[in-house]
Amino acid sequence: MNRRQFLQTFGLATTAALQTSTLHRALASLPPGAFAPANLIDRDPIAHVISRLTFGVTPDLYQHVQTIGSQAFIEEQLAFETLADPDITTHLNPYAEVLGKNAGVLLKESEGMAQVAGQALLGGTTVRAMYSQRQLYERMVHFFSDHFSIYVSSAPLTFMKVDDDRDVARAYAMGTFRAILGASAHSPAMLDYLDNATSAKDAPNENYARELMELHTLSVDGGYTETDVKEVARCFTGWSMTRPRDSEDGLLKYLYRPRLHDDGAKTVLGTTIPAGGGERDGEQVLDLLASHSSTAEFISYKLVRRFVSDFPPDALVQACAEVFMQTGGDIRAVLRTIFNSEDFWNAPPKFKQPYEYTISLLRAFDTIILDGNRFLRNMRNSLDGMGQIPFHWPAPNGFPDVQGAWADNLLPRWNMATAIVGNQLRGAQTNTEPFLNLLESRGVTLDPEAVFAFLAQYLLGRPLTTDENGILMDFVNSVADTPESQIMNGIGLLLASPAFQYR
Amino acid sequence: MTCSHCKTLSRREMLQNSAALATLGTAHAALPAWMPRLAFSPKHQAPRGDVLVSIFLRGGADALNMIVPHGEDAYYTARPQLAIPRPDASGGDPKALDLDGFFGIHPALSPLLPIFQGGQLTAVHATGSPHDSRSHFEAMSFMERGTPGEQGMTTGWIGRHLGTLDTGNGSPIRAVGWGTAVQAALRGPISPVAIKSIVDYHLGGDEKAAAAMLNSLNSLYALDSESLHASAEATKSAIEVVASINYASYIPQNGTTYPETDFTMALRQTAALIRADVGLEAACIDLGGWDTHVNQGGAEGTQAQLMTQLSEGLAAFHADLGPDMQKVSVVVMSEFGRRVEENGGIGTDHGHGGAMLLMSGNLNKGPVVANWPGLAPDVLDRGEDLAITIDYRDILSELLTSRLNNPLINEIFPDFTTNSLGLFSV
Repeated sequence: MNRRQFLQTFGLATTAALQTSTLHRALASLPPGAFAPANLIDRDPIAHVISRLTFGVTPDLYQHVQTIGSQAFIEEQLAFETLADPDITTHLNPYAEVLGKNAGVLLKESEGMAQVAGQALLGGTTVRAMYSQRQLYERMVHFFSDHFSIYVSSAPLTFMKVDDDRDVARAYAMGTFRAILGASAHSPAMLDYLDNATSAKDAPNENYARELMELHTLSVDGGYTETDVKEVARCFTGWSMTRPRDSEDGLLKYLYRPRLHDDGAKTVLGTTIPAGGGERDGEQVLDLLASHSSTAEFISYKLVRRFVSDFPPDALVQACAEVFMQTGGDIRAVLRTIFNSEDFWNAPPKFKQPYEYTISLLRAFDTIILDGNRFLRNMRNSLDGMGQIPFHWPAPNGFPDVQGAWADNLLPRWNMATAIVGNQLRGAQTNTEPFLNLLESRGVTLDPEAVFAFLAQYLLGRPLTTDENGILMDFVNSVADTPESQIMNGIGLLLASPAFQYR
Repeated sequence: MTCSHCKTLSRREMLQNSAALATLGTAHAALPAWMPRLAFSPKHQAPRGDVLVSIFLRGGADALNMIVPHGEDAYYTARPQLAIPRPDASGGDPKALDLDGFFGIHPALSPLLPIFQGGQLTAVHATGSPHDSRSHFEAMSFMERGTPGEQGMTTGWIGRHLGTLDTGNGSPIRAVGWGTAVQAALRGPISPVAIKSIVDYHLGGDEKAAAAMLNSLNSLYALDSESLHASAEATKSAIEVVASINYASYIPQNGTTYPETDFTMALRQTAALIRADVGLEAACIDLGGWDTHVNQGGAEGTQAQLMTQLSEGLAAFHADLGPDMQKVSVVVMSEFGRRVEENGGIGTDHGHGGAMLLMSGNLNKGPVVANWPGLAPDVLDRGEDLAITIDYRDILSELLTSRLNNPLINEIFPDFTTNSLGLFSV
């Protein structure tokens, strides 16, 4: 088999653009044995740290971490501001203008703007997950998008989410918890979604007050009462937003409306908030909640669950909570505690959420987006079948982060894997050219068994077991006659296999 | 209509005490989520009963505006803007449709009126899960797991029902969770599958390669130590079953047309599986959007639109099944009802007691069953919410024993003593 035949089988055209991929440059220089055999117990620490901190391994990244070491990689990812990300501007280009606008401006634009804004939100988040070098930062943006979940069901909330995404999650994903909590509390999207914008002293709306304590800070058993819910709701009366038609610039922004505020005395979690505090009442509540030990534990628990295990080890959660309290809720310090723990390095496999699984497939093959709108339409359909279109969880608690919530819906994942390998994800192209260059440079022949062995080490961080190899070879021998077709089918099976469902 | 508020309180106390004991639930708490699949074995043998269709209204549905207590002055006092006008109110505006002289249904539920009148629909009012949580997520979790107030149960009430009952049904799709994730109520020793759309439920590619890939995937998943195997196997079996029924050509009976929504499509697909007789015993369907803190609307508006979806779907399902309703039981529930008094945003905040709907060919009681506690401030739960005078587990226990042939209530609702309501005929 020659390269041309192989590429034809994949249905790919070779273009000049594809040949300049960084994948080739990176992997061609790997020393022999770079993908050293490992098993699940004694796994490749480089593959492990990449898969936990990022949206998926790429050959580029593997080479990089091998060069600088895991510790340096962790620090580099934590200090994301200094991490060069030269190509992301180009990838974001189709969406940047919309994502830079204020909801009030979007609201005044054309009829179809809701769809455009929705597409920009999905497009922006997806190209960043696929291509950004600041992978840990992007994962933290996703974490906080879920923590302060807003269901973008329709305009004008879609427009407000554009501001929220930029001014809350992206602005403070690696800052202090108090900062992101405050940004969220002032975000028109949150004020609208949880109904605080219209909450007034005569009959306060409890929605935001309750979820603020239950979901954003203390957690359901964190020590608040129904009376606290009512008192916090009183504190936030008047926290509202401008109406675009009211202001000269037409912007939609946070606005405190003193006439709606209940200015009487309140008691929150045993602390008296004296009468006459005005807008400051809400800030005082946020101070109380952000510095509460229940909040420290809850945020730590969720972060450990995110980066370590569905069953967070209690000692690590407690250690993180202590760091949280000592550092004034410094998210970076908590993350560093997690990444330096034994539990992190010995973590059991963590089931990928559907969106993460999809992005890891796209990253594994250096997918190139040819037609953004078409690509996103297809992504949206596939993700809908898996139950995870970003910003579309229909409740304020965010997408679930445990295997049990996702494991009974495997079929759309299998179809996504075969679609990407079969180059059927319309609007995008699976880029096998650099992969072929890589195989060539490493002396791997285009023989199915050799290709699978190589691919497993690259994608799974370990060699195939004898059983896995046997199943894979039986399958490809039964469905295809030519080596190229066998390789294509085998890659599909490998990516749909249980091993690739985990990070 | 007696006030049994006190009974509710004592039951709650009993529950709090029992939560401290080492129960079935806490024993399972230490196990990973997938363990119950292996830990249970069927304990009771009986023939298959009704097909159970469990519909969950997510967000806390405002039952007081669905099953309207139009005989209560306090209802109209508490809701000057949101109350549904009495059936005999003057003027041409939409008003409640009377059921029994005291309760009526919201006008958007009008498609259900003939079914109520025909004795195949019963609303149970002032019911719910007795735990006092006003949190959506906690309340849903307790309700679906069937263990109010007790953390740690990883299986759901329907899952435990199917897991304890051996009906000799070897079907791989005893249980389906319509949508993209299996509902918590279905989790348990059986392996339910999540299906969004039957027509899309197949592996892409040519038929021969797809079949081979399914087999190979199963072999690979069988090696998996994280027990995805059961899920993969269930997926494969479900693909084979749905391929056999030719859903594309399913024609609803009796001239029924289902509206085109995810909710009604799930009902249509349920009807198709029942008709195809492929061994379906339980299906779960969600309808979300009931968290109406603002702009809930009265006779028209946000909640009315949801009720239209609900009633049109149920009416279509009822018409489609026709005589087959004799072997189907539908139950509709929500995690809690909403505050009696409306708020400043013309909406309602989280409350307590709510209502459940039962649709079946074997109902015994009138259109509304309630130990109505009343809506006067002194009889309200916490002074502001509808009290619960019928534990929702009483309703489900009766459904389980009378219609689903499962008497093992202690396995399904641990530490719960049932009170008979006589809702179903055996």
